[in-house]
Amino acid sequence: MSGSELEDALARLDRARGPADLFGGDEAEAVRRYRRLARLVHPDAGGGRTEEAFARLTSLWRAYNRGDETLITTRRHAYRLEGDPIGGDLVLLYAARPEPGRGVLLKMPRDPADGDLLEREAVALRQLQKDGDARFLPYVPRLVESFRHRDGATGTRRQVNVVAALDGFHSLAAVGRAFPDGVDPRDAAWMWRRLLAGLGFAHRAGVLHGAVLPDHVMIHPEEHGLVLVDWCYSVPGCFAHADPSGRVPAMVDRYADWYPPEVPGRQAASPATDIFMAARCMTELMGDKVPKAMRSFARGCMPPAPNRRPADAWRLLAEFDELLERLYGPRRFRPFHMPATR
Amino acid sequence: MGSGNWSTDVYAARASYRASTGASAFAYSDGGATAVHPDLDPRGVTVRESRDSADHPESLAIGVLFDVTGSMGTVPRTLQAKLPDLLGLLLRKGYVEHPHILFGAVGDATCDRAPLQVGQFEADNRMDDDLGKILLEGGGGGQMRESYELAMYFMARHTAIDCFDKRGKRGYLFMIGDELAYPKAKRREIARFVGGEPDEDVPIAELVRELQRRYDVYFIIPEGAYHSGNREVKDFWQELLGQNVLYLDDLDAVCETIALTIGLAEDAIDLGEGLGHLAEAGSDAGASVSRALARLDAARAPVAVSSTPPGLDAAGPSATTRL
Repeated sequence: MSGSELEDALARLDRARGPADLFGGDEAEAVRRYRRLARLVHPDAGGGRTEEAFARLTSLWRAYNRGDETLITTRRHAYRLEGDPIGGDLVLLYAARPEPGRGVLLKMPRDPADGDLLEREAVALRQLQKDGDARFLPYVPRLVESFRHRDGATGTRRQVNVVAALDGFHSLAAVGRAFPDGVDPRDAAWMWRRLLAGLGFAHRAGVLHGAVLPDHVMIHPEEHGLVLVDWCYSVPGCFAHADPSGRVPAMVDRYADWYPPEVPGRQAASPATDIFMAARCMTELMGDKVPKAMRSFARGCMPPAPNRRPADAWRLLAEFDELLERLYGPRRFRPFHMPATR
Repeated sequence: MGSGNWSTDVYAARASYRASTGASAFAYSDGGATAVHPDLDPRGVTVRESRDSADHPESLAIGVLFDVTGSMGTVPRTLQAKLPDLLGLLLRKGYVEHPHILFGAVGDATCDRAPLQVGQFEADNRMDDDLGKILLEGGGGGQMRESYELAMYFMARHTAIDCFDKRGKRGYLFMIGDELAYPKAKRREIARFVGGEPDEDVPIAELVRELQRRYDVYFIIPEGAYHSGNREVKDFWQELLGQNVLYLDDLDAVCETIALTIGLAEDAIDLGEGLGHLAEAGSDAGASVSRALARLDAARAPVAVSSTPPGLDAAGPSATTRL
């Protein structure tokens, strides 16, 4: 990219009084112009000094497309996408409200080639719905539908999953940030219990989660609720035909060192894989506040060799309850609040 | 061929009659027959036809051919028992308005008495009669191959279907089995069992290509069958047919699987709707069908067209590593 190209782009952005000035009337041409400008003024490319220009470009583009651009119509629903997407490692999440219906999230993969992982999630969620104990369905997202999306101008195809939105939930990562000194073990205790219940439910239904990480564990503070999200990395038993390896298909880069050795080692995953990662999530969350007995319990869940770890989340939950009773006596509900400001 | 109307009531009446008399649906086979029934003998048949008619102005040809050798165990009988569901589902739910269904059976041309049996395309209970005339081999050569290539040769070169010939709309061909095909349809076997003789053997890939022009071709591997866990069998068919190889863990769900596969391909339903229909119809095959068709559904799911939402095209690549 030459400097003059960037200068030219910035000048054109500056001059534009409205979206049509910048993008013109032809839809396909507009997409090309937008893409070219976005490439030029993207903050990553502009060395930091184009952030403002990029924000302006994005807002002009959004204004230009008000109309059908944020409306995605499938056979079942029409989704009007609302607001800015939430970025994930694999997907962007778009909030939408189908008419009629409750809020949903559209999960669209950044890289269209990751469609198989979205497909994998849809397979897992359907299997959980069908083969899982219905009492525990609130522990996993509800799949509204799974469809293919095609960009009208470029022809790019993406596999899209639509899941019910979660209100009032926070990820364990956010909880961790809100309590930099560590979460009180008595609060962490119910989260851990719920996490084991969620895993026990999934494993009984023949599905391994494959990526129990702080971003994928959502908790509801007031209701002590927990939902295990993002099943794109899962290993549903019914996938064995297509992929008999039983391996976790991909690893989240940021958390590369959180995985038990069988995952980067490209070995088959097992319930013990999820249990290892759950223990890691919970001990990290408590930081230095972990009581000794709980730390030992977690260590017992994390030997490198999968066959030396516990493999039955329900049985492990019973053990964990005994431990909690020894530590804190009979169970009592303990309100948990997220700090108002983060 | 292909006139008349299907009635599930007639079928039910017949089934209960059979039950009360103790006669098997495979009366011909169970009666001790040892040769192909003349009605199903492909030898000398120019074409089996699926033609439009006043009753069925927009016919859709559907072929269902299954392995009747011993390795398939009870699959052929299960299939027979479930047939009313197939047509019933297709019609009741409006997946297809005018299905013409042909049944056939595949054995092993190197050693069986009846390596290929093919009925007519029918739109009513007469297909039942065809089914009753199928000879169950129970043998098989023990070399993990059956003569599917011969069946494919017949379907490719000895059928005439109006849906394609008149409207360019492909028919459907389902083969159900648990073994490999032979790599070529051998001219000697063609001469012996079908008639006519091509100049040379026809490689199976060639037959698949020919067939796929006129038919959507699927291979269903029932998980309960003898060789079904075999990797080689899966690889063999997957290489030929890609995602159109379906693995079915419950034999009872075979008709539902066929019906929903057609429904998906006809764009009449998506998998969720189809599974809903099964539940409504009181079928408990949903879980098995769902597993068998999940991949197909993902590839077939209807496409929503719009521009890519803002943010996505400027988003960086996925921050994950494939293992």
